[in-house]
Amino acid sequence: MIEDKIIEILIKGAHSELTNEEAVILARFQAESEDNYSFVEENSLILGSLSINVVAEPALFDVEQALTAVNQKKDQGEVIRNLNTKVLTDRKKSNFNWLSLAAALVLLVGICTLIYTFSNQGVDNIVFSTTDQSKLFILDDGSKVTLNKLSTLELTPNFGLNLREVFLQGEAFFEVNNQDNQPFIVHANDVQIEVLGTAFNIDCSPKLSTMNIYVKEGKVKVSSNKSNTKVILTAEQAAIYNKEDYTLYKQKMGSKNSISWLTDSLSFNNVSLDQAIQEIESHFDIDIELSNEAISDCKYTSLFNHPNPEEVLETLSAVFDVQIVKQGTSSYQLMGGTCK
Amino acid sequence: MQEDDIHLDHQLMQRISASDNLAYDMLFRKYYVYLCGVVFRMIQDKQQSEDVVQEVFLEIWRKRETIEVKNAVKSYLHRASINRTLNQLKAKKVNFAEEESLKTVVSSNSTPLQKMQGEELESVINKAYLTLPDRCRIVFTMVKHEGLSYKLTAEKLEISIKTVENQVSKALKIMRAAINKYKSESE
Repeated sequence: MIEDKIIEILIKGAHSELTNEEAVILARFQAESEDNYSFVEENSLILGSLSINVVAEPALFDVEQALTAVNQKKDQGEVIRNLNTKVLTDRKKSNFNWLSLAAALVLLVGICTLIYTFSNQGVDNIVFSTTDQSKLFILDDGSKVTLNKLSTLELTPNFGLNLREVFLQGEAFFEVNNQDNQPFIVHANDVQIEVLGTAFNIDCSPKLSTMNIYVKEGKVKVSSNKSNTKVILTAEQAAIYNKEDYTLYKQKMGSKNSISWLTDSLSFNNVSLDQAIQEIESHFDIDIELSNEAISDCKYTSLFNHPNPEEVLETLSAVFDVQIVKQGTSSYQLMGGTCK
Repeated sequence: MQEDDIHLDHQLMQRISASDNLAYDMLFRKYYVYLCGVVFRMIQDKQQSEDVVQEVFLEIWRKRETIEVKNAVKSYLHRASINRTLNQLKAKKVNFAEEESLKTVVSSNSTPLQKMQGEELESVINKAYLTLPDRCRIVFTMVKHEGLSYKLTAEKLEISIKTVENQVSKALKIMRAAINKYKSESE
């Protein structure tokens, strides 16, 4: 009946766009009579008033207790699954006899011990990770690694024996202790960065299509599995690796601002305004649009310690005579201006 | 920011695929209560809701090596929870079809709703929602809260579209009755 159709349309309209057809059906229905009009009003009201939010009382559910229960079952489940398969195959071969049972029991003990050992082995693979804050970690060899947010560093089990090998996801700043005959190697994607002793930054966050390596001090060798290229970087040099076409090349000029997340400072030394803006955007995770193309090449020199976006933009405004227009919570437009 | 959150969740899933227990615990703590709420809204049983959600998480651990989540992890978990709930209901042979046929509801008898206080109205309606008969509530939740079309709801619950229409009408009728009762009592 038409009322059912109308209700269906009302329910749909509450969470998504109605098609033209649906909107017309609704409008015509409402216009037909007072009763129809009321029908729509009432049901809209009811449907609109139903809480969208889930759970009236979050206290109803005990998360920690549930998590403990689940973690117990996680391990048990694996034991039981393996056991079930083995016991089933045993039973198929012979009619149930005590020998089979003994075998199954031994197997159960065997699996338990195996699982126990495996779990321990898992712990031996040291993993450092961060979520919403950057953190400093010190490795067994004294090297220091500062992980930026949402990053993970995994050490191979024999870290420190012959090689010092680690796997990186995300961004990290390394200060590697010089240890003769024990190269420190960072694997990130299909790139290896080999160091003897030095301080450098690697940014290989999944959301970027390029990987950036910046060396603060010392010397590193960057090479890629996928393309037979390698690059050697020394102090204040940087390399860019393109994850899509596997090209690896040295940047003309590395920028100290590659580690601005770590130092919380921005330093510009006669760089183009365009470049400065890119680095400011990256540091604060904001968007800045430069309306006046003519000033994109103006040179800029400045140093900021622990800055906030407004402070930096105001300085730009003063230096170049630009007008700052805030577009949203993290979006700005710079208009006008001259190089001076 | 929502985008960052989706990104964060994908990172957690990646680490879970690599058997990272810590990441697993994090994901669990992040969404457990939310998912329990989603299921509870439908079946109104605390213990069963928790069982369902815990099973969802256990399943994720079991197939952690092969699992691939294309869109937001939260949506994936939400859908998995609903699906598991429906499967359980089917296993218990819950029948969603109507026992008696319902006359389609036409509101010619009820007066237009006066403007009640927004919060008051919400409270009355939500209480009425809790009194809906089980099957009625389940069908209504699928359509209203889970946003499924009548057609899709009918398919998932293995009932006819007509039954879906009837159950939805019944739900609205019950809620309207609750409002009218409340109004007459407060006058």
